[in-house]
Amino acid sequence: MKLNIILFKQHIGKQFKNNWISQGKKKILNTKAEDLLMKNGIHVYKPQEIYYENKFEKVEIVGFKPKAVEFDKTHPNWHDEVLLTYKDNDVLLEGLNQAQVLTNSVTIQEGIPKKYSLQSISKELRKHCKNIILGAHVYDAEQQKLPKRKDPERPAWNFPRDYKITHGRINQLMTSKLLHLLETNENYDIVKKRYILNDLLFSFPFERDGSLIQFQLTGDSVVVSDKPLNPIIEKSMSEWKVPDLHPLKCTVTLNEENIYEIENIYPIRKDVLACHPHTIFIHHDRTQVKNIFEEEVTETQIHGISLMKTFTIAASYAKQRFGENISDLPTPVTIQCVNTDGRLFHFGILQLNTLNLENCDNHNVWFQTERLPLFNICQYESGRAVLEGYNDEVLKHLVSFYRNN
Amino acid sequence: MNSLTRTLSKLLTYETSHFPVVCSIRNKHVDKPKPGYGISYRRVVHYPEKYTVKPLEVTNLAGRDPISGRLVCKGIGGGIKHKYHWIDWVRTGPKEGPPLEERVIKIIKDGCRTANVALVASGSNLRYILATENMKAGDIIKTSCHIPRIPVRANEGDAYPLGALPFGTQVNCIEKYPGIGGFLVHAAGTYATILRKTPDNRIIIMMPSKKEFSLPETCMCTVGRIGNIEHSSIPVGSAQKMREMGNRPRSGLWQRKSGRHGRKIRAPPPVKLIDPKPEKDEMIQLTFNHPFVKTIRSQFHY
Repeated sequence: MKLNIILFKQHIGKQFKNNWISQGKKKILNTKAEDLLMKNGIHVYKPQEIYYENKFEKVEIVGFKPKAVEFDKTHPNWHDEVLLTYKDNDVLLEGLNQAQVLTNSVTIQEGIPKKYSLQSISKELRKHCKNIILGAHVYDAEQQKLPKRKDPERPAWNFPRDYKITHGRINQLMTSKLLHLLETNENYDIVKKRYILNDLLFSFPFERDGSLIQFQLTGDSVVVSDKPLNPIIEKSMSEWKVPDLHPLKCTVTLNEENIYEIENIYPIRKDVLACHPHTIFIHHDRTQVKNIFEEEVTETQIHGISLMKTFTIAASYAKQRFGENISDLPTPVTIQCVNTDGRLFHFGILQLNTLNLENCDNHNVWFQTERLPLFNICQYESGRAVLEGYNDEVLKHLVSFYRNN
Repeated sequence: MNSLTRTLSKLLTYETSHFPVVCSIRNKHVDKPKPGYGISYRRVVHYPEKYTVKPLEVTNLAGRDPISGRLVCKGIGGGIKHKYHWIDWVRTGPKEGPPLEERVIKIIKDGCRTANVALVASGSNLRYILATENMKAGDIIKTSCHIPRIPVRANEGDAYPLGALPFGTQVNCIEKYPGIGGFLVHAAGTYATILRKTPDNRIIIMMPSKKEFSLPETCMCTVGRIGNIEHSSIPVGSAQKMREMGNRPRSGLWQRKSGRHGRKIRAPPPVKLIDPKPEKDEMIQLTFNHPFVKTIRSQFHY
């Protein structure tokens, strides 16, 4: 049985329907009647001006859940003045050059100062270090789903998903185990003066060229000591110049924020015995640290990250030590930094001479090495853990950094 | 039984004079746009309010009109999803004084277009433009809106008004009307040539199609040829590659060489004057969408 109505071939209803659709759209012809009425002093209203849709009055209902804070102008921390921030996962466009301009630092030589003597590593220490590498990269029990792999040559190819140790975990294991190795092998007189603190938040706000800037960074592992480090260079830095970024400004790629709090944070109290930062360990996590335009982070950008982090810690420490409004420091603050992604290690030393960042006569000094590989390959091959191309230089640098007073 | 009584009771409540009408939703009239009027049915880009160089998320449409959801354009669908690099088409510089200088940071291969994209920066601004043939990271490119008496000697990648450049210059990314942003000549390896000037301060350019367009001399353009020249000479290679590019199999009816679809050689058209289009007349849509019909048969009353 047919349930719906019969479809008439000669269906007058359809004709009417089509006609109605085409005639339903009307072009408004300009008859100039409006001009004529206006001329005679009669105001012409549009229908929208007179006809209002039904408006409902909103009633505030007391809910069982507190309202979520909205990140707009109603936010309690909203400011009309923009704050430029630099945070942990940010990258500077021009890398080290831009970081040098931002922090008023100059590099006066390649490599680390001569004061740091690199001594040969004992066989036992080398063996321990190799075990640490294997322990962090291969033997650790963590099994997490890693980000998707992509091959630019074959973009349609889907790789099997990796379940392995995450990059953050590798960094954390490498740093903590290497520090433990240094502590167990070093002289007790040195070790008892050093403490290790993890995940500290540092914040350093300042004003430059009329714009507010704040660096908010975490020190993943910070070695503190009971005495500040001795300065490296005593002479004046007036003949050196910071790099020229023309046509860029030094604030390019800093985040613009309206919701913020200006805080000056150095997380260790002044009355603590070991409050002086000695060495900071920075974890470079490839999966987190990205360019704003999502391209690969370059070598110089990683160098820039090291300088920015070291500077933030040094500057917030200097403010706590010498007072809020200090400009040129009475004694320079020196801090060492080690930036690692688990395989490549980058060593840097910052001597903070001034907090006046627009000063052309006095500059801070930055020393750094290239990124040194600790090994070339560390992975399972045919079911066996393989470590190839181990390099002693990294451990030599670490030992000399740890010993430095 | 229960449902049957409910149906019968419903019938009782309705007016008996009306025949129950089955209104087919399937046959509802939907306005469907025609392809080829400047709207892409391949993807929609989710633009934020403020310009950003962060690659943007897209929604692939597979040839469907996003408003009505109906298939408009055949042969589109599938393929690799690419993020969209938002290109800043408007390149304006100072009217007088030294030109605006920008540094090329990186040349990026873009999945959503044939041409490469250049990331450029000046001051604290970053933006994408189309990369020209020889543009490379570290280059300084200039932008100026000034039209001097003597034509400027421009370098590749610089942006000037059409009137400021000497005849015979190869240009790309040309504005149709002053101020709207680069509109003409965007594809990989293409360029237009500046031919001559007309007395009414207009410049005649030869497009890649050899047609001649007459544009106002204040229209901005970029000097040089768009990069990725080898694009046109690289064959797609395989049917699978075509699917990766987001195109579905063709019908196979098009035969270029057989003469079936004819061959036409025409005289070149006269110079086309490009001016802003007049505003379209205001259209209103009557909201009552059912015809009022008085017919003898009651079933037509819908």
